[in-house]
Amino acid sequence: MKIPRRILLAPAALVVVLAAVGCTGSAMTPDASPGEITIGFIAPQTGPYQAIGTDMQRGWDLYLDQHGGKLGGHRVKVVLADEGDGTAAAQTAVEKLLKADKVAAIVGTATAPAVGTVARPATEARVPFVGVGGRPSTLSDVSFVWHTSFQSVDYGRAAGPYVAKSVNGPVYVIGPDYQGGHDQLAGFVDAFVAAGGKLANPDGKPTYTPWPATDNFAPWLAKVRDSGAAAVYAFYAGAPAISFTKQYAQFVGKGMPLYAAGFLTEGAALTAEGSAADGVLTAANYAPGLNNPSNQAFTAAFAAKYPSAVPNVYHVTSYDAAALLDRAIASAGANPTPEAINTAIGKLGQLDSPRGPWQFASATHTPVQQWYLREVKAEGTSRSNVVVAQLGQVG
Amino acid sequence: MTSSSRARFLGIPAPALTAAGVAASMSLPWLADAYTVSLASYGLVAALVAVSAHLLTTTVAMPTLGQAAYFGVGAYTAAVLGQGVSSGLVQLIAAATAGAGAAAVIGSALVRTRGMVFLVLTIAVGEVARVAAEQAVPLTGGGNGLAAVPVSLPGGAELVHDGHVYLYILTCTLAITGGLHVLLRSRTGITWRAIADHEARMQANGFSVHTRLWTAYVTAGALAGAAGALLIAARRFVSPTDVAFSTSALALLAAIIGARSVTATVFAALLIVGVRDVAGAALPGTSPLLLGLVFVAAALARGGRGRRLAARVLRRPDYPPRSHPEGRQL
Amino acid sequence: MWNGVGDLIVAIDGVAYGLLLYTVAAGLSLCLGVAGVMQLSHGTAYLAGAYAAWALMHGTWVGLLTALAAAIVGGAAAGTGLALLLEAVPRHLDQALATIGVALVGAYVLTEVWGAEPLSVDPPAGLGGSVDIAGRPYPVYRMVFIVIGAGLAAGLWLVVHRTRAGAVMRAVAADPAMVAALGIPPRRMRAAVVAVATAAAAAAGVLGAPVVGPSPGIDHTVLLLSLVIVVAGGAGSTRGALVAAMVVGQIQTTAVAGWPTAAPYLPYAVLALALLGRFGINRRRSA
Repeated sequence: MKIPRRILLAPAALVVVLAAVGCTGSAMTPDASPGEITIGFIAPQTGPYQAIGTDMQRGWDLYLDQHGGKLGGHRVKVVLADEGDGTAAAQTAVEKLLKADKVAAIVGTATAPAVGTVARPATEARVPFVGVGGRPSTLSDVSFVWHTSFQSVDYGRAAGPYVAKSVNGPVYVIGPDYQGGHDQLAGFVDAFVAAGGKLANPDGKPTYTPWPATDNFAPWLAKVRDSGAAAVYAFYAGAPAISFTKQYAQFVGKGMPLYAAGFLTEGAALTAEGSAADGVLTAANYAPGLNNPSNQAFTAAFAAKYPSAVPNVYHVTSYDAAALLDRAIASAGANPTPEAINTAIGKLGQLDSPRGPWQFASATHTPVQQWYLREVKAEGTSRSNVVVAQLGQVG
Repeated sequence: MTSSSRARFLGIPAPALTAAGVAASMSLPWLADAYTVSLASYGLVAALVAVSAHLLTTTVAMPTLGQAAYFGVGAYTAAVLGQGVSSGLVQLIAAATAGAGAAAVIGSALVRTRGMVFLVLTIAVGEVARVAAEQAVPLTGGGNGLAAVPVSLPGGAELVHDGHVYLYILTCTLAITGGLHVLLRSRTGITWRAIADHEARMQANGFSVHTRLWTAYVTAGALAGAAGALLIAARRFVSPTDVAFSTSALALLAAIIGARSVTATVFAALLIVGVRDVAGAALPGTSPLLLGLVFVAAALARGGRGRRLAARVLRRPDYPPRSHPEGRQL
Repeated sequence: MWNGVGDLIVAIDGVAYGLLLYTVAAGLSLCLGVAGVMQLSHGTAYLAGAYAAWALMHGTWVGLLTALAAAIVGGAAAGTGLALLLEAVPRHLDQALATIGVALVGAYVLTEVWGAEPLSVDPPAGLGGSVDIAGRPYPVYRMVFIVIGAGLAAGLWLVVHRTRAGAVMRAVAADPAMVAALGIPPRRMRAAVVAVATAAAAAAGVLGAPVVGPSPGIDHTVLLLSLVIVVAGGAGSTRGALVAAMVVGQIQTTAVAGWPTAAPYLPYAVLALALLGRFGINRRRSA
């Protein structure tokens, strides 16, 4: 039974396959029932960032639940798409949302690299993209891109002056060798040096650890210890944040204060780090204990819906994305087009949020907001990030 | 081997089927929505990577898990070149050349190994390529990836519409696989298969086995590189995740499901991309599970069949020449 | 650039790290070299073991022993199951496919059960702190791990070189047809090797969890480094695997700190060098 090679037959079966694909595709296309709006939500549902994806979805769902599944008076159909481990999956996701689901807006992305992947096609299709994760510094055209979260450089910009003021001596700066790491540490170094701080790193530049080669920070921590630094400023997120914090406690100890971007002790990482995280100081735009009415209402509703979870920054940025779209869609007319929604987002002005009021910077479309310095404090077996200082408005 | 002019399927002569198939796939943009068409474009790109894996895995019986490396070399070449030259054809040729060049260097060492060692080394090559894409930020944009401008046709027309992009990629894929079809029936192709079947005998007959296998490896690199250029045409974007292990694994899976047929390999790749992107979107988060089951099922389905390929492949010793070719084989 | 005690600490840590990799890679080496099966789901066994440590250990000695027992029994059972699957797909190529599939499904199931959050495992009571080496703190557990790892390496060497089972294994690696002719059923031998290797990887996951904890993606990392070690050391050679693991351990610690930009490539450079070296030997042998 020989199989003859009919290379040029590929097209015939291609059509069969695609017909099947097409059917499934059209089945997922919304029926455009009157008054309904389709929103695409891109979050990691597989891979190493799945935990962040779950947080994002929870914040988003909480707002929709509180508002009867409606945004701006319209019933909302949410189409979930997987961000996987970053850009390639995000590309597939955004293609589907724009071309098959014809969404009115896209919300999401946990990873900074995926921002560019989603922003370009969304901008070309003139559909607003409301990001809830890190914004890389490499994005040029932001006319349709809005972030309810932060720019990667903001963390360091907020922390730099404070660390320069309160640490008596040079500071060792360390982070992972990828774009987000470079943005984070560059933000810190610029603000820190401008405020009179001095780096303890031997060449006067931040130290970048290989990415994603290692979770073993012992070699660098040995150098940190020998550098004569008075404190350390670090950026790590996800699984490396846990390894770094635990190994910092083991190889350096509590004698040298550890400052970091909020991710180091956020959410699941904090639980995993346990006592190793005690006393770590992080800069962030949110802490669950913030004392304002919005946050009290938010944390109460959050605790009712997710009793075992502690609210973190991703819950808040996704919650705010829903709140933002709620107001924007309401003011975009009876039949809101994606462009009308985008224009409306630009005119919102100040937004109320669990993290306190904030507004978009007109040049970057990222929040101008209050930043906080938080310290990890243990209460019995659980730990939380407690605000110990205000770092001022940055953005 | 049945010659293509006598090939029939369900009693219909191959040329008629071919014509019908080409006509049908050419008409897709008028039949399906934009998303399906863009998915088909990507499916064709994945199919071409799978065809490059097929050339190594089936034709010369050297299974590979590293074709993503040359796919990446081609894609980044096309994207970087696209900053100055938007001609799709120029990008395609440059990407294929770059893929071939990289494969020529790496292949000169790799073709001296066989079986399991070769397979593991190709995994290493893929991993090194991914890390390089991640690290060479000035050239590749690092983890953020590299965006490209739309490619243009020789007349100067820019390809932005999904249907136009699809037709361009379909034409290129048909031309390339058609060329491979001819190559596999030429003396070169016959020698490749003969080496796969009887390496020691070919060596004894005076054929330079290493050189022939190296040629096959370089050709496969060119195919994967060309696929990279088509990725740029399809998505105007490349990032290190495109160069990941999963790309190579899917290409190998498609090549194995496709067995001896290039056509079947193309179908298999389209089907796999369909499973991953369509079923994965319908049941969010389940695509690894679905793909995993496809992998296991494909292996089990072939466990009892494909004996001829088995007989051929099983004669491959780990290191040539060995005294007991029935020993460790692949 | 010898930096005194700081570098010594790093070198010691490289030993701990290398031994951790060795405990995983040794089993894989036996799978590839002795049982002759293509195993690309080996990292999943480590990950499952690490999750078992998280679920059962809770920083107690009883928990550690329970987790170890669970990992060994579960690993042996899973390994036997895997061996049965691999008997159904005798060709290496299909085995590669099948085990890639098993790894994908396994990672999916583990994530479904334990969630996607990276977890952290505390060592048993008394091993959690740091000891001072010339005034520098060094984690006690890593110190202990060096002893455990050295013990495992020695034990494995004894089994392979001083027992009948080991003699059979070495014989299979050298000439499987001859061993089959002596009446030793290769199928059972293969199943035993895969079961033992999988159990060993799962046990390494339990013991290694306080150093490299459970989180999605660890399975792939562990598999890649193990493959590098196995191929660089020579499939089937536990001694070669030990040497390669120690080299990779030093690379992942000492070399990465001194030369961070090259670090991600260094394991593969070692692989290339080892192969180049062994090619010379193979050429001469086969000539």
